Amino acid sequence: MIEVTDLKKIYLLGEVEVAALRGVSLSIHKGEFVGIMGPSGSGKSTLLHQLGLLDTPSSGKILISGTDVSRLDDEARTRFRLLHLGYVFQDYALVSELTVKENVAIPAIMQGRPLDECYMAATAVLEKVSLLKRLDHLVYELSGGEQQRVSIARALVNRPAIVFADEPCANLDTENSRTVLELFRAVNRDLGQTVVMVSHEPWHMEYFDRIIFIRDGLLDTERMEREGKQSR
Amino acid sequence: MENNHGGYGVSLYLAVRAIRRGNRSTLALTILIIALVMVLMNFLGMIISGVVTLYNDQMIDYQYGHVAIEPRDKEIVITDADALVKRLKQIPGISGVSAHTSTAVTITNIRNGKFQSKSLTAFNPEDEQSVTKYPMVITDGDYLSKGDTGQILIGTLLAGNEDESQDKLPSLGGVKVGDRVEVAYSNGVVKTYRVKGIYESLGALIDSSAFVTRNEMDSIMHSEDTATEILVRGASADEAPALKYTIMSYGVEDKVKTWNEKGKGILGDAISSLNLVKNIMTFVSLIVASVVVFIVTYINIINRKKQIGILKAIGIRKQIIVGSYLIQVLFQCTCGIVTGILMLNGIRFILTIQKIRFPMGNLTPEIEYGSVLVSIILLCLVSLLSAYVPARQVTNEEILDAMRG
Ligand SMILES: Nc1ncnc2c1ncn2[C@@H]1O[C@H](COP(=O)(O)OP(=O)(O)OP(=O)(O)O)[C@@H](O)[C@H]1O
Ligand SMILES: [Mg+2]
Repeated sequence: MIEVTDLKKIYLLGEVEVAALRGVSLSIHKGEFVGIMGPSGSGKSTLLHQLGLLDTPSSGKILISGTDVSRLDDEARTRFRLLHLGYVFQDYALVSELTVKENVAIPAIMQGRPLDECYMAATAVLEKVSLLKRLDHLVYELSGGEQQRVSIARALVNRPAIVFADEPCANLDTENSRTVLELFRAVNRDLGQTVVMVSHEPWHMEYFDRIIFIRDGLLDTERMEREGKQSR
Repeated sequence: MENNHGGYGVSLYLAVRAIRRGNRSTLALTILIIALVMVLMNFLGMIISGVVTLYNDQMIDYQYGHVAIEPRDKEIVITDADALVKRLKQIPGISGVSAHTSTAVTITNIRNGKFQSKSLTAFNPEDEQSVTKYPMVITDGDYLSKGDTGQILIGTLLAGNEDESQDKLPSLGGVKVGDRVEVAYSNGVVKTYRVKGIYESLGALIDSSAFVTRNEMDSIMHSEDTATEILVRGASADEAPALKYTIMSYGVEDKVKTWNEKGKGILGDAISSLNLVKNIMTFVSLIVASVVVFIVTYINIINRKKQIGILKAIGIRKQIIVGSYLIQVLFQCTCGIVTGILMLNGIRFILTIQKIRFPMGNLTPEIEYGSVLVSIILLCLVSLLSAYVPARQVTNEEILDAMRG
């Protein structure tokens, strides 16, 4: 489903080049629940941005469902994101002028579905993240954890083929984290959605089908082998 | 569903919510700025059209009527004036005709010896009543009546004040009703008149004239059956050109001119200069307006960079985001324009009560809706452009750059 070949991302900070990804190749299969783990600053968010078509690579190739997405133009990428991807941002990225329900509904509205149907779908996902009581609140009235769950609900509302989540539990207590992880596992099992999730909590590992470790912008193959042996 | 996604309905959806829940004070400020720009662009025009109307009304009501008939080329007077007046009175659409005979005189205030050289005009008081407004602006004494001889009507500025410093134009130094003035005609006749009435039209030129009856003038100048000018009043100022052609079609061979043609004199030039000033002013305020509206909108949108990045990240097309900002700006513009028009009306109201004095009288400002329309269109265009440029720029940025704010 996702094929990444020698992906590099180099940021230019003035004269200095910062290599956030230094040649990552990996593949993620349809229906997998994959975890991406690694130390802070190792390039997890950068990788997820690349996979989620939010940024363009410096070099390398990304194939999603057979489409070479690194070649798409801006317009086509936007459309691709809308139709096939869901994304939970590390900093939530909610629209401040919309209520909780509207924030979640907007990707559905963009697909041209009737408004009440969109609101119904939004309400249904929000129920799953225990936010039914907050439907008509504006996002700034919510706690960090609540905003994070709104962001999760928004990523799921269109039932996209692939869901990317960048530390979706960072601001949640254990109980809410479990709810979210269970939810991801449910959509993964029941709806066959592929889930790719960044995390640094060791206890999350039990939910993942597979874990991709990265370190300094490269796959941490050593660790993957070690952990692989342990879990066996 | 693939093809049908995300129409401009989403723009409206986003715009409505942004307006409803966005920053109130920014919105209010923007609306106020647009309103003030509207006022700035139309204020001078309002005054100028007030001046124009005032000038036109003065010309019609005191100087020329709707149509004035002058002696034909190389003639000094209209001959057979009585017959012509009679004929004109029978033309349908003409509500008043009055023959004038003017001659240069020197008027002296007997009490203090002050004198002024003026043109003295003679009319038939009854005829005059149906054409001009002199009878309605008598401030002291009485209007002339038909058989009056030895009586004169004097404008308030010509009458003047005993204290010269209060005079706006050279005067006779305080002539009052019942006073005697001496009039020296060009044929050598000098006659003493009793001041019957003082009038005040508020028009400077008009109020420094003097009038006697035709009978009086005829007895001295032997000007029977001639006129230097015949004033005609029709239905309305706008219909003057039509009236002119009607009169000509009745075979009148003297020169027929509308008030408008007569008025293209000194003040006409002044008004076209004023109009030029007004146009420059409009142009300058449009530039100021564009810059201000541009800056406000630009900053507004740049501040919302992060939000725009988010919208794009969740799959909303650029055009839809830009569209939502255009809708917001159009809304601001509409509110601003409405507020601006209300403000203009307010100003007009205040200035109408407050009375601005002009050499032709009190000015009533008039809102020129034609130029208001032009400023509306220009403002909308400028606003749309100043929203479009930054919105376009931000939506073209890399999503992550935009999202960082
Ligand atoms: N826009 C940018 N410009 C320059 N350098 C950047 C930029 N974004 C990320 N980096 C650098 O790339 C590296 C990887 O960053 P990234 O955000 O992917 O780390 P991460 O693994 O997600 O860390 P964390 O767990 O703290 O979220 C970091 O060294 C970071 O400083
Ligand atoms: Mg990160």
